[in-house]
Amino acid sequence: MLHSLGKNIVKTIEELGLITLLCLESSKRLFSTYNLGHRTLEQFMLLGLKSIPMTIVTSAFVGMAFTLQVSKEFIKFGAGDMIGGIVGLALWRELSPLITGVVFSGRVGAAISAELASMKVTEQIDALESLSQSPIQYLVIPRIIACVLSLPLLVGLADIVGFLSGFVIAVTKGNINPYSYFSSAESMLRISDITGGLYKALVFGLVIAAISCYKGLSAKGGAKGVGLVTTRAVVVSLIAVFILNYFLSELLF
Amino acid sequence: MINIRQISKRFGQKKIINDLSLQIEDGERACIIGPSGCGKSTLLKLLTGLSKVDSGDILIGDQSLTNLDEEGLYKLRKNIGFAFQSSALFDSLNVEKNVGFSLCETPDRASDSLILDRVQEMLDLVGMSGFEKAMPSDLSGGQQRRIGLARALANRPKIVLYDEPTTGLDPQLCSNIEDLITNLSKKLNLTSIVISHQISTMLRTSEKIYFMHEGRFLKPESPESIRNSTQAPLHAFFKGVL
Repeated sequence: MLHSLGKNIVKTIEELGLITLLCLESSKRLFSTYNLGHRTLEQFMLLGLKSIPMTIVTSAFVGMAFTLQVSKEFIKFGAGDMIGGIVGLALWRELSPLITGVVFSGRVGAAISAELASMKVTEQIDALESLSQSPIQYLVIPRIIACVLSLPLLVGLADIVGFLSGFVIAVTKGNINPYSYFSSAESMLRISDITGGLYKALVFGLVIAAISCYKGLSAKGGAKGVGLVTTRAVVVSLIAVFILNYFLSELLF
Repeated sequence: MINIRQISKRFGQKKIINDLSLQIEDGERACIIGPSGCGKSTLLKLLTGLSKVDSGDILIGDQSLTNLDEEGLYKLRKNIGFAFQSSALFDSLNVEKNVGFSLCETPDRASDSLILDRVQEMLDLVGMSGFEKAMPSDLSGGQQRRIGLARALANRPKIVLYDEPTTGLDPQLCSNIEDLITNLSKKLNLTSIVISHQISTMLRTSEKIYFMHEGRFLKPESPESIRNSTQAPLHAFFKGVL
């Protein structure tokens, strides 16, 4: 048991090292990558823009559920006027980056790792190299940039949608004065609450893309191998997002 | 000329290639045969630098593969076409983009009209004109092999490596692909190395046949002499007991 635990720890550390190396290699080759804008835009449309509907739905319902719970308790204590500020703080600092990061891991992380893994097991990665193309430049860098750019934008959207859906619930279910919802948000929130959440998203985007690309490129075997690395990519990304979220919260707020 | 000098390759504890040497002249049509798992496909990957040798050296012309960095390898690979066993077509790109890939995705990109002309020329060569806009998933196994071949040739390489080009195809398609390999090699004066299990492919596509046994090559045979070879492993191979 101890032996297998030790083996797993060593393997995890080794993988962390390899993922870091992939990021470093990608940044080293960033400026020598040919046709980067076009490929990044393609990935941005595919990974970022197509995540918008999912982001809207999840952030709307998280905002609504959170406001429903908070408004009940706050009204009991006569603090209904603070609800807008509390919802804004919770969403912008924690809930929007975290929930959007989780949704992004599931949708985009799985898509990236499954695509690259299936390319690996069908020799398409070897074919790419045999045609004098670096998989890092052709596949990894555009995906990392697309994720790093699109996740903060999605979190920004989730901030707005979550806050406004909270407003609807606060006004309709909690009978909160519409003006006080916005004025409490204005007095309690600082611009750093929003930018902090966006910084988190930037880091999550980088980590999710790097883990998913690494896992995809390390696939072995056939369909089973693809399934295995896709599952692992999502699980590892999710764990990384939760762990990083705590430390970033300590650092940023 | 391809000069393989005493190379060895190990995967884990297993030594797949053991002190192997071989010299293939320019314009030669060589076939490498041997039992499953003897290291034939590994050898092709070593020849393109997709995998590294543990010891020994491979020279393509006067260029040593072991001393090349990634940039150098990419330059060298422009002269080497690789037709994969699985075709390995990029499934997100259509036939036209697959075939023209090596011409498009490069800093010294050719003009659109030149790329289209070359793609058309390659598709004509492999008898696949009219399939430009088809996606790989719309093609049969044999058609995918042809497109894989067209893609390998699009950059006008001097050397073409074929990994099991006829495995899994019906006899008619096998024969078509074999003719295609032979005719293209002659027409374009290519050095070709075919790896195959199929006896017909070995006999019809090559001038020299190298049998790989226990990580090394036996004395080369010609298609005419191989059936009557006195070398014991070859006998066993043809009897199906190796």
